[in-house]
Amino acid sequence: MITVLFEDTSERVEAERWVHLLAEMASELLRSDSPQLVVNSLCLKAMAFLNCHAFFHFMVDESAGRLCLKAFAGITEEQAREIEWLDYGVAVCDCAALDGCRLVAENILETPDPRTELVKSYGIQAYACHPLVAHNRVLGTLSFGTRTRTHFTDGELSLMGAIADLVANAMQHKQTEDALRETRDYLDRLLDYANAPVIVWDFDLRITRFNRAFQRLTGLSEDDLLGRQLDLLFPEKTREKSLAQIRRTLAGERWEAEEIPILRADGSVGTVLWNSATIYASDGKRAIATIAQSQDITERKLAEEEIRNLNQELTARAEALEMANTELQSFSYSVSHDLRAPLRSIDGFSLALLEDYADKLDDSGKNYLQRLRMASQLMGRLIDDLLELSRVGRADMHWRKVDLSQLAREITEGLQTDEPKRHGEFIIAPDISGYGDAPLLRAVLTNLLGNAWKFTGKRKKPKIEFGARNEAGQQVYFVRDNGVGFDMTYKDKLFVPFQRLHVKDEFPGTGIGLATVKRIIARHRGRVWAEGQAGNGATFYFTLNDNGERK
Amino acid sequence: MRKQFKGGIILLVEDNPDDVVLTERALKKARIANKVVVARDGVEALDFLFGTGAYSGRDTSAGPEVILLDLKLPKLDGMEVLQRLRGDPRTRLLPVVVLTSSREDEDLTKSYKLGANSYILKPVDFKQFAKAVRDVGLYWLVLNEPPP
Repeated sequence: MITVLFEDTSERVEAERWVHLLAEMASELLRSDSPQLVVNSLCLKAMAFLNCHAFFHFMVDESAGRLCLKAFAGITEEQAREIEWLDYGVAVCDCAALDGCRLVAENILETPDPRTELVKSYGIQAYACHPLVAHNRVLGTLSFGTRTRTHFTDGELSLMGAIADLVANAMQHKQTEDALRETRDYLDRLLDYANAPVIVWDFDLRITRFNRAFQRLTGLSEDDLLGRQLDLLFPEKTREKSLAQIRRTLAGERWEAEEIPILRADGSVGTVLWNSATIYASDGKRAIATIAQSQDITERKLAEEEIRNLNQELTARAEALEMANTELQSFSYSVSHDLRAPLRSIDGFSLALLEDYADKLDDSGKNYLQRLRMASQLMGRLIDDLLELSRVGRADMHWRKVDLSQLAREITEGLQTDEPKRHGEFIIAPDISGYGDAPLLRAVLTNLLGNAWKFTGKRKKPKIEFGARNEAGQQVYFVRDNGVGFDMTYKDKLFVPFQRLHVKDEFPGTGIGLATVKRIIARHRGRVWAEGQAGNGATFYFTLNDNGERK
Repeated sequence: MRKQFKGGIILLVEDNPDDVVLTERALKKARIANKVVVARDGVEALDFLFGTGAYSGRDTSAGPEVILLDLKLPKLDGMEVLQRLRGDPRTRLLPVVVLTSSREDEDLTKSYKLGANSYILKPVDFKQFAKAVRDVGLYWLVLNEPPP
């Protein structure tokens, strides 16, 4: 009895030790970040506990299709290197791994089984290999061997099985955890590296997720955002409206492209285009959150705004211009009517006096009346010229190829006919043409050739040339004369209305002709300029369509 | 050329008294002795033509022979008067000579479109005007056969 009692007591003590060992191992495995790392020390402890002399821990390498030795004891480093990789179906461990069943080899020295050859060579007499199985998957093996005993007790084998299960579960747990972490990290990276700002909010409108793009968009830090109410994202002015829009998403509404202004950390307001989707619980029915993806369209909005403003400004300017033009037209109209009426009276009644009362006037009186008529007629011409100047600025232009040589011939013939007593030499280069409005170009040549004819009035042999030359691919037209010329000091005044470089008695004129020329050439997108010398003739140059366009 | 004075009335629609005097003088100089009735604005012109207003009861069958119509007038302007004339069967065929100092191309085109028969520009040089009045007046008063 005493013996039995002793037996009982010793078994109970043994069992307590085992429970203690397993608890210690379980806690160590759970605490460890990597079960693999603690396997070695755990097994050394278990080996001593089980009175064994060797242990081997292999892991299945699925891609290599064999086992890999991860931890061991009881053999030399050199021997370990030889079994670093173990093929299936060769030794005890690989067979246990293959079948997923425990393999126990006892009394090995007497066993003919070839799978025991390897452990036999290490002097091992009893050897037990447990597969590390979790979720029906063999992760690896854990085996213990003894050199001094030929058999294990059932208890020892149970203990080994329990240790293997502990390790396997810890490893499985770890693997699941790793896979989860990897998936989570992957999803985080997906979110973070996405260019589009993404944000998730829950039913209480609390921000639960967001990505870096969203932080860049708002300039807000993680602390500013995480778990905070969505309110903070919106400028006060539009906050209520935006929140109302957001509440609709929780009711299941999806945004395709909702424009919602957001408030940035720096206080500025950006315009963001959002699309959203409702996130459902795994039952697929219960809405738990909303994910929204956005696009910062602030720049685009600003550009649009800019364009809109510019358009408005343009329209306003066009209207102002239109108005100015209308005003100018009505002004010209009244100028042509109202300013001329009194002149007509002056001239008409002067003429009536001259004709009806000639016998009552002496020569001096008649002379004064003539002067009245001359002055009123000059003013009439000034008005006409001014109107012409304003007309060339707004007349419709009909672009076509114009034979300028032909125009110049017609004009010079007219000049010669008007003053048959003068004999001018007109040199007109043939076949010169230009693109423009024929009546306006006629006005240009009439003015330039008319001027040339006028200012050569005192020359015995007036010589007037019209021609063109090519300068850097551009046609430059010119009218040259050998008349009185002008002082280059005043060359800029030539084209200003009412600016005259000669006294009226010498060369009559209103001083508007060249201003008209300049305006016409400008409307043809050309330039006009003059060269001359006092007493030595003048040359007027002009170009057409400087930018090569023909409209 | 045999002059056939028809002795009808010339209606001068003109608001500028100087122009009225000068035009009458030009007509006289051209030996056109027809009676000249002056209307000083568009409304008065229409009253005369249709026998309304101040002219109510006038025998509208008595002419005028020709209308000299200034474009710029108080109340109704020349264009509007012309438009009314051409829109009424009684005056649809009346010869109308538009008188104006306007050189605006638009005026010219528009008055022809509205059915003006001639256009006289009133230049500052009165001699030219007198000549134009003579030529045009003679044409419409003498050479032109009135509509049946």
